[in-house]
Amino acid sequence: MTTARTAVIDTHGLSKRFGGVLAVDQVSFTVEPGQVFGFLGPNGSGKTTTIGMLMGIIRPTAGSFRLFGAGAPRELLAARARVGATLETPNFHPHLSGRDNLGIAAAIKGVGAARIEECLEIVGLRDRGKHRFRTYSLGMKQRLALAATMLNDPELVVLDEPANGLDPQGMKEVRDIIRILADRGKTIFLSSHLLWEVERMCTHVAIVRKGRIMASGTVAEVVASETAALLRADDTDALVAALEDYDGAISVRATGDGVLVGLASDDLAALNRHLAGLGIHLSHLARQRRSLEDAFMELTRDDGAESMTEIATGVDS
Amino acid sequence: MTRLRILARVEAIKIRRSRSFLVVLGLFILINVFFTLTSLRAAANNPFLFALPDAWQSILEIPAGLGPLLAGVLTILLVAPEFTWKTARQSVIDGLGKGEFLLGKLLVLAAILPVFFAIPLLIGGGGALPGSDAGQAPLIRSEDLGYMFAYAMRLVLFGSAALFVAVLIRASGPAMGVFLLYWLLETIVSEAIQVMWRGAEGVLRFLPGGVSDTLNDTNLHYANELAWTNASRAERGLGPLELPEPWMLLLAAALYSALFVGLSFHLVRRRDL
Ligand SMILES: Nc1ncnc2c1ncn2[C@@H]1O[C@H](COP(=O)(O)OP(=O)(O)O)[C@@H](O)[C@H]1O
Ligand SMILES: [Mg+2]
Repeated sequence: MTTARTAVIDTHGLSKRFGGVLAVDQVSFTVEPGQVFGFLGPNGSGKTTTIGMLMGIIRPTAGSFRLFGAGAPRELLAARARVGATLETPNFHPHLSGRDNLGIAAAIKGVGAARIEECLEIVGLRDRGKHRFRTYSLGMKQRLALAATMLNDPELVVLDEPANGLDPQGMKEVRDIIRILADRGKTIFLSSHLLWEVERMCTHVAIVRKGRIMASGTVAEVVASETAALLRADDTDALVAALEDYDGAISVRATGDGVLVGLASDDLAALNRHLAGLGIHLSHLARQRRSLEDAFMELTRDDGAESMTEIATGVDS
Repeated sequence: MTRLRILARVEAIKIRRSRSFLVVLGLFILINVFFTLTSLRAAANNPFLFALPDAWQSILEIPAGLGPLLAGVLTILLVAPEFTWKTARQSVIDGLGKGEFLLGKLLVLAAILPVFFAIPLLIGGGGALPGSDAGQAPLIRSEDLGYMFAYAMRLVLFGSAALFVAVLIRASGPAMGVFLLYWLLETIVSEAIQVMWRGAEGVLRFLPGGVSDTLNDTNLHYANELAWTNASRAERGLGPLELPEPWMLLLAAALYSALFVGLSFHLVRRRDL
């Protein structure tokens, strides 16, 4: 069985255990060429670990993956030449200038000096290129990381929480750069804990929670397939805690009206049994007509830079 | 070949602006200049006191004696932060193999160790040259060459040990602590063991620090020095000093170095970055 185009990323049962922590649990997904793929999940859900395995810096405990169809170590090294990626924070030598830092990445990627200037220009760091990395603001650091990612004009761009810690203006700049890359036909894989960020930019999404993929598909499919329910109980805190531990819950949010939960399946009876098993008895359980998307949108209006811990686990602060 | 050139280029960019490199190397140069000036002053009225070839012995024993330790410290400062800054990780993401990353660090060693080798020879040797009478004796005897070779081997031993500790501990502060403490502990433990069992000396000399110390022992390289030592030992009722053959120590140093480098590759390849 062959597909017309080779998948850019293809994972099968990818797992990673750190001592007692199962950080990534049987993750399987496929990213096709040209997709802007959002990897959405709260902090600690295994996004960085998954990307680390794809990039060859973390050894999978189990499972396998292919990049551009390549699976063997030597093939993968060649396939990675078609990828540009940053993980977690921008990682550079603090005492070297932005330009020298790009020089290191450029040498590894076999890219010339002219391209370094081009990329500095694109991210608006041309003037600051000669300054030491440690003097950069967080936004500049993120932009330098984007520049490093673009150096080799990669077919696949992998960004791990690219908007993390940025102000709204910085986020917009990052979004614009991503959009430009997408328009040029690049495949983009980006992780985020912000649903609205993913919704705005992505064509496809996988929702990950505690290392497991809860749902995946086009953004429209995933949002439509989710069931939202409104729950009430005497002890709201206990209810929120119990829902956070419920494997079927994609998002949990306490509202003035009760606790709003997004579910991977519409089996409300199973949810009720789970809660009753924990000694939590519901005074109210109702499927919501309001879509999950609406609920999330409302949330993001409160505070643009809210973290997904709050969104996904939903405790109002 | 092109891969090696890429690694060399990458490491050159890093070293060119490295403050650690300047500070540690500057310190070593200062130590050598200080030693040479002190020796010249002591020999002000009798230039033959600090003249080649005899001066090699003290140059190699004292300022060069510190070379391997400083080279090790510099190695740690150049390797360990790559893990804390996660630049090692980024380099692999950018396309280096994990082994290639470490190969780059071996190139760094290949670049800095010759510099550490040359500094005492140039500064000390240069300082002792004016007082030397070239007509009398060769400026370098075969014993001096042997001692120089032992110095080179000690640099390799400490450089590779430091590489291993840096890769193992991945943070320069703690790595430096472990590195310095190890040599100190080995000395203390060796002394303690010898108090209880005199015969242990022959074995203890083959621990990494013992190998280095013995290779830096002038008795190993200069017959007249050994005769002197043995005469003074005889006065104290002790038997002659028993030293291994230099080649055995050089071989041990080479084997330890290979082991440290091998373990470093193993660690880097095995572990997550
Ligand atoms: N090197 C590590 N050692 C031990 N645990 C780790 C390590 N890296 C990540 N983890 C754990 O694995 C889980 C997933 O982490 P991570 O992949 O960073 O999540 P995310 O990127 O989604 O925030 C977390 O519980 C985290 O504490
Ligand atoms: Mg992360």
